[in-house]
Formats: sequence, C-alpha cells, structure tokens
Amino acid sequence: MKAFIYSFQSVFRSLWHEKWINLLTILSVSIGLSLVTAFIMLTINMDSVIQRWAKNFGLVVYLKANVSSAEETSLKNLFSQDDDIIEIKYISKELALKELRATLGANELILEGLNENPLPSSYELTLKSNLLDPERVKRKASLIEHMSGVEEVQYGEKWLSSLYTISKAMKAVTIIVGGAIFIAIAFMTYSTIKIFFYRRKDEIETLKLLGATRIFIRLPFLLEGLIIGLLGGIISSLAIFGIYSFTSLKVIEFLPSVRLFMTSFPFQVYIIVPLAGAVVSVIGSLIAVGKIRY
Amino acid sequence: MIEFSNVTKYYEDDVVFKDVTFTIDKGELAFITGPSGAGKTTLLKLIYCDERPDKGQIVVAGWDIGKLKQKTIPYLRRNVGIVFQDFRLLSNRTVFDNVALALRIHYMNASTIKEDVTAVLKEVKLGHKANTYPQHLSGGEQQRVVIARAMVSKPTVLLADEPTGNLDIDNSQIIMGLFREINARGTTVLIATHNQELFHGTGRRVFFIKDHSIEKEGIG
Repeated sequence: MKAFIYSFQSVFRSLWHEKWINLLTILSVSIGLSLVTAFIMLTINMDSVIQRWAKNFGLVVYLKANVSSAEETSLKNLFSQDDDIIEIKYISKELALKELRATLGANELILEGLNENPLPSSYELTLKSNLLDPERVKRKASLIEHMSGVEEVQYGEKWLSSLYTISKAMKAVTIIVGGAIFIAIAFMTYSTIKIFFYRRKDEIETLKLLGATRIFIRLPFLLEGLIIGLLGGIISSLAIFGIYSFTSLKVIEFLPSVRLFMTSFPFQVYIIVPLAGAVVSVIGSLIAVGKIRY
Repeated sequence: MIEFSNVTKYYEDDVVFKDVTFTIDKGELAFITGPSGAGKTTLLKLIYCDERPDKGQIVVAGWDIGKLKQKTIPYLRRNVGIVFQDFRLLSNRTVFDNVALALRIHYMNASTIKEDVTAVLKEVKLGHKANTYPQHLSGGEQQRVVIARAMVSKPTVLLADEPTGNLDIDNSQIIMGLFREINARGTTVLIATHNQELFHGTGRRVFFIKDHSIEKEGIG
C-alpha cells in the first residue's frame, strides 16, 4: 500500500512536469481506442443487419406428388422436433396454386389450359438466424431430401454463402485492424514511458545504489502507463458517447435509413474501452521499463 | 564485517585484482589507498555488489556477494551506505529530498522521514540548506549532503570513494570528522583515497593496493 502511495505521488509529479508529452500520448491513445471501438461497432451493426435479413431465410421442402398424408404428418413431426427449425409452414397444392394465381394477376389465364394442379405441396421451414452456416444448412437440406415423401429441397445457397462470407470478412478485418491499433497504442505508451525512463536514468541508477527494489523503481512507470491508458480510454468513451448520441438524435432526423444500421450501444463498452486502454498501456510500459538489473 | 578471501576480478581480459585477501572488522574505520587506476573504486563496487568477483569469496555483513541473487541486492545495499566520488545528487530535488530518498525506498512515513532527515542535516551542519538545490551548494556542502544521505538510513557499513577528492583542507577535515562520528556510533567505515594526508596520524589500518593485490597493510 505504501508502495502505491509513494508511486502515485511520483506519477502525479511526472504527469504534471511532462504534461505536454503525456497529453499528446493520452490523445493518441484515445484516437486509437475510438477507431477500434468504431470498427467493433460497425461489425456488430453489420452483423445485426445480416441477422435481420437472415430472419426470413428458410428451406422449401417440396413433397412428392404421391405423398401420403401419413408421410406428411411424419415429416411435420420430424421438423417440430428439430431445434434448428423455428417455424414450419405447410403449403398445400391448392394453396400453392392460389398463390401462383395471385402472383400472376392478370396473366393467370395461362393456367386455364391445365387439367390438373401441377404444383407440389411443400413445407417452408424457417431456421434460427444464428445457425446459418452454409455447410450446416447444406447438410440439413441433404438430410431432409433423403426423407420419405420429399421430392426436393431448395434454398438460397449462393445468397446465404455471400452473407456468411461478408460477415466473416468483417469480423476478420476488425480483428486485424483492432489488433494493429492495440499494438500501436502499446507502442505509443512504450515510447512515452521509455523517454521518461531515459530522462530519469540517473535517478534510477542512484535509487538502485541506495537499495531501491525493482517494484519501487518500476511501479511509478507502470502506474503512469496505466493512467495514460485509462485517461485515453475515458476520453474515447466520452467521444463515442457524444458521436453516438449526436447520430441517434440529429442524423436520423435527416437520414432515417441510418436507423437500419444502428443497433443498441451496450453500456459496458464505456467501461471496457478505458480498461482495454489501461491494460494495453501497462503492457507497453512493462516492455519500456524492461528488466531492472543491479 | 567485510571479508575478502582470494578474490580475483577481471575486466574482460584485464586483471584488476588477483587473490586479494583482507578483513575489515565490525566497528572499524579503515582506509584503502593506492595510485589512480589501482582498483580502489572497483574494490568498493565489489562490496556493494555493483561488480561480482570472478574467483574467491566476499562476505559483507553476512551476505555472500558472489551468491547474491539480483532481487536480494537491494537489501544488501540498504545495509551499506555509499559516499560516491561523483556525489550522485539529483539536481531536480532539494537537499532535503535527496537525503529523504534513502528513506523513501523503505516506504517510511512522511513524519518519520521529516524528523530523521532534519536531524541528519543538522548533524552535517546543513539544516539551513534543506530547501536548496544541490547545484547551488559548494563542493564541501554537496559532499556533506551525500554523507547525510548515506548515514540517514543507519547502515552497518559505510563506504566512501575519494570523499575529499575535490575539497580543500578545511572541508576535508570536516568530512573526516563526520566519518569518525559515524564510526563512533558503531558503523564500520571504509574509505578509499589516494590522499595519504587523510590517514596519516589517524592510527587506523590502511591497505595499500599495488599490482592487482594488497601490497601491504599498515597503520596510518
């Protein structure tokens, strides 16, 4: 505890004496953290849009012309037991024809020559939107296709695959960009603390000769890095809050479609950002101070 | 208190000491002398573990220097007060803060630090200069600040490297008087100097370094 009190006194002295370089580092850290948060939020929002689109995604299971009612019931039971399926809609031959007529509108006359209803009955299955992995859907479609009474299973394979690829690419870009920015933040703190460390080299040498322990020497630098990261994170959180509030209140007035891309902003972000800043900056400071050798 | 047994020290391929053996007893005040470059500073560095022996054994206040782990070195140094030849005073701290540094590393509370530092500054006759910065002091005053910093934590051993190197006779006598006082309280004092005037007539043991070893031992 005494070590912390002493170190904090030393940190506040240094923060004041080196205020400009500290301010510059804090602002750089806050810009970096804001960029990471913006990327993460963009990915979350894109993902939410994709999930919303995917909500209506389903498999259409066409039944054989000669399917028995027992087979139809058995299929319905099987679909009901499947946890991945959230909605089952049965389209009878008659309903399918009715829907076709409605779709054709004035052109429904082309159906006049038909002696019998050529359309098959079908099941429309809606899948859980978070399970829309193309491989998984493909396996499920193939499984259903082999069930008794099923003629064919159709679904938007290419569409699903594209959505999945976009979502995956966004996440990968966020991880790479986020990682790069985190490294940059660590490097910024590293450089600042390294400068302070060199400026106080004589003092550190004297302290070592007087019998100061490693923790006594290192702690002020680590705490200074922590405060830089924490303050950078707090500024970043305030900026994010400001931008988000402005977007929600003002921009939506003029561009209502922005609402489609805006998901709710988790409150935890405002705590996680300063903490992330602090952790990354402490790592930078740890590397800067290095190993103290006597 | 300080025991050298067949100590050999090299700097790269150059031998500094070869088979050096001597003992400084507890509560003794002794001198080490020799020409410049003889290795007096290196010998002191070996005592406070800024250098390690390549062969032989050094024991200081019960600590085996050769076997000391890195993390244990600070605890040895807290028992060894050092008066550096180049002072090592921090120019951005006042006299008070420079001396207090030796206590702050022990995380002592502010009131104890104030009490102890004020007392020790009075002893070295610098009570009135507590708020002065070192660069505004004379050489003799700076040396007394260094002594105050070395003695404030009440070490068992005090080492001094050319403590009167840049001082006139009057200041040298003041400094030597301080060392005698510190020694009278039971602290073992070892002074490295090339100035023979410093130990003449003191009746203390003197070790003469020449040709990489203790050439002879005498009484000053």
